Amino acid sequence: MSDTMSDTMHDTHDIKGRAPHAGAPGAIKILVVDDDPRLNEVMTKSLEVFGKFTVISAFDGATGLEKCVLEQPSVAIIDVKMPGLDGYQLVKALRGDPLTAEIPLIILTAMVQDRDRLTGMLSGADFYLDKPLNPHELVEAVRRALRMSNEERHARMRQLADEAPAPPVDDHRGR
Amino acid sequence: MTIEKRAVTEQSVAASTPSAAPNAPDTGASSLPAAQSTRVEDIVRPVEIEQLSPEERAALTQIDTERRLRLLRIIAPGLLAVAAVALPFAVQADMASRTLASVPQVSIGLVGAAIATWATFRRRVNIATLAFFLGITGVIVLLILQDGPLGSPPQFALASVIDFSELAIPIAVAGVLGSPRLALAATAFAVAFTLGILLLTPHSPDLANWLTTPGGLAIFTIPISTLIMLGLLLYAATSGYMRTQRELGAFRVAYARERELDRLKDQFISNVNHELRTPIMALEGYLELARAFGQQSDGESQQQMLARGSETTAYLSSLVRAILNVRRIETDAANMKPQAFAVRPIILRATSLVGPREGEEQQQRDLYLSVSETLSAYADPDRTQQVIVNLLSNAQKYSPPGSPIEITARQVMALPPQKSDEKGRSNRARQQRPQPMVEVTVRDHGLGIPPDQAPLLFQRFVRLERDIASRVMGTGLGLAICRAYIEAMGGRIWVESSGVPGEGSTFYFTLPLAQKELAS
Repeated sequence: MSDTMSDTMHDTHDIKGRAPHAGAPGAIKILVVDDDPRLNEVMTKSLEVFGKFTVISAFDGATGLEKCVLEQPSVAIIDVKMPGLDGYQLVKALRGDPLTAEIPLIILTAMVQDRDRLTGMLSGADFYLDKPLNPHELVEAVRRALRMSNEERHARMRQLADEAPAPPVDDHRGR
Repeated sequence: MTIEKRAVTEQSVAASTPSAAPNAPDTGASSLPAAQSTRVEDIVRPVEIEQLSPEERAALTQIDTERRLRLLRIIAPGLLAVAAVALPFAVQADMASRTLASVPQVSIGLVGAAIATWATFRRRVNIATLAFFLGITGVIVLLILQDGPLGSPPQFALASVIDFSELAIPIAVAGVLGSPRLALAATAFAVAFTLGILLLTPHSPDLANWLTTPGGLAIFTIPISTLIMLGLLLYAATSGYMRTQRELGAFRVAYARERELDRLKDQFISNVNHELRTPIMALEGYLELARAFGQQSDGESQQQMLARGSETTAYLSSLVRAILNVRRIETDAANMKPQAFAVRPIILRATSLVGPREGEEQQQRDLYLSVSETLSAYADPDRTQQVIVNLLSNAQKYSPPGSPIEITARQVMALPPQKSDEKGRSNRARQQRPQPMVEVTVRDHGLGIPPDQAPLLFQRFVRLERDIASRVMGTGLGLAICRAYIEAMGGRIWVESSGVPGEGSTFYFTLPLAQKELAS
C-alpha cells in the first residue's frame, strides 16, 4: 500500500464515512457487533432511542466485518468474546483494510484484567469500555468517538504504543 | 425395553419451564473449605493421599531419584579417581611380586566406577547404583578371596581377618543408595560370605593358634556382629527416612492439589464475574428503555422491554443461585434419602425440564430414549433427576443445534466404586465382586472431549479451555455436582469420548439396582 493510495482512501472516508456527524443525527450509522442476542438488542434500541442513531447489528465477527465494509458505519461497537472471529481479531481486520481503517472502534468487554485492556488497545480500538455500561454511557461513548478527529486518534494510538511496557512485534495499527 | 423417538420442540419445552430452567446445568453446589483454626493434631497427623495420579507418582519418584543422583555425582567419580590413582601402584606391586593380584581388584573398581559415573551423568540412576554397588563389592570380595581360597597357599591368615571389616562398605552403599531391604540383603550376604570363607578355607597356622587361645573366637564374632549391627541400623535409618520422605511427598501432593484448587477457584470467580456482566448490562438497558418508552407513552414497547428485563432477571437469579449454592453440595450429598424408584419416569421428567439453549432458535432436536419400563434403582430420585438434567443440558449446550441426543438406561453387572475406609485405604477385598447395577448413558454428537482432559471435568470449577473461550456459559460446577451426588448414592460417573468433533461424548453413570422389582 503506497502512501498516496492510503491518503486517498482516508479522504474518501472523511467524505463518505465521517461526514454525516456534521449533518442530521439520524443519518449517523452505528454498527453493533455482539453475539449475545439480549445485549445486542439492548444496545441497538438504546442507541436508536437515546442517541437517535441509525443502528445496524451483527451477531458475529464475520458478519460484523462484512457490514462494516458494506455499510461504512460512523462508529462500530464490538464485543470481545464472540465465536469464530473474536472482537480483537475483528478490530485488527478492520484496521488492516483501508476501506475501514479510519472507522472509530469501541471495544466492549467483560474481561477486566489490564492485560486484556492493553491487547484491546493495541489491536487498534479507540475506546475500551467495561461491561456493565448503562445506555446513556454507551451513547456518550459513541458521541465521544464521533467527536474525535483523525489526528487525535492517531496521536492517541502513538501514545498508547509508547506507553506499552513491551510493544508487540506487529504494528499496532495492523498495517 | 422400548425404543422411542421423541421430537422435542425446544420452544415448547421452554414454555413449560417459565423461569429459565431452575435446574440449569451448572447450578448447584459444592463446598468451599471452611475456615478453621490450626490444631496440633492436624499438624502431627500425617497427610493421607488416597490415590496418586500417575503424574504425582512420577513426581514423587523423581524426588528420590534426584537425591540418589546427587549422592552418586560425588561418590561415583570419587571411586573412579581413587581407582585410577591406585592402578599404577597395583601394576607396580604385581610386577614386583610376579603375580596377578592387585590389578584385577583395582580394575573391577575402575570399571564399576566408570560405568557408574557415566550412568550418573546420563541420569540412569538404577544402572549407576548397580554398577557402583557391584564395583565396590567386587573389589572387596576379590580381595578377601585372594587372601583366602585363591591365595598361594590357599589359606586364611590371621592378618587377613581385618579384610572383613571392608564388607561394611557394600552394606552402607545398599542402605544409602538403595532401600532398607537392599541393606538387609547386603548384610545377609556379607555375614554369609564371612562365615563361608572362615569355615570352608583352611586356616593358616597363626590363625589356628589364635583360635585355640581363650576368647580367640572373638576374632570371628566381633566383625560379624558389627556387620549385623550396621545392617540393622541402616535398615532402621533408611526405613525412617523413606517414611519421612513419603509423608513429605504426601504434603507436596496435597499442597500442589490445594494450589490447583485455588487456581481453579480464581478462574471460577473470574468466570462468574464475566458471566454476570453481560446480563446485568442487558437488564440495565431494558429498564432504561422501558422508562424511555413509558415517557413516550409507547406502552407496547415498554411492556416488551419489561418482559425482556424479567427474563434476564430470571437468568441472572439462576446464575446467582448457582454461585451462592456452592456450599450446599456436600450437605446435599450427605442427606440423600435412597429409595427404590422406577428410572424411566425420572428420565422423562428430566427431559421435560431442560430448556432451550441460550440463543438457540426454534430448533428441532431428536431425543432417542432406550429405557426399560421395569428398571428401578435404589437411590435418591430427586438427585438422580438433577444429574440427568445436568448431563442433558450439557449435551445440549456442547453439541450443534439439531443434533440428536440419546439416553439409555439398562441393567449391567458392574463393580461398585471403591470406597475408602476410615484410614483412607481402599478396601479392595470386599468390593471386587461385580454387582447388578443400573447404568444410564447420555450421548451427544458434539465436539467431544479430549481423552486426556476427560477425568478433570468432574472436578470442581473445571471447564475445558475450549469452552471458556467459547460463548457457552458455565461455572464449571455441573459435572462436579453430578459426581458428588452419584458417588454419594453408591455409583460411579465417567465419560467416554474420542475427542473427535462430531463423534460426541457419552456420559455414563451407575446406581445400585433396586433389589425387588417395583409393583407399578
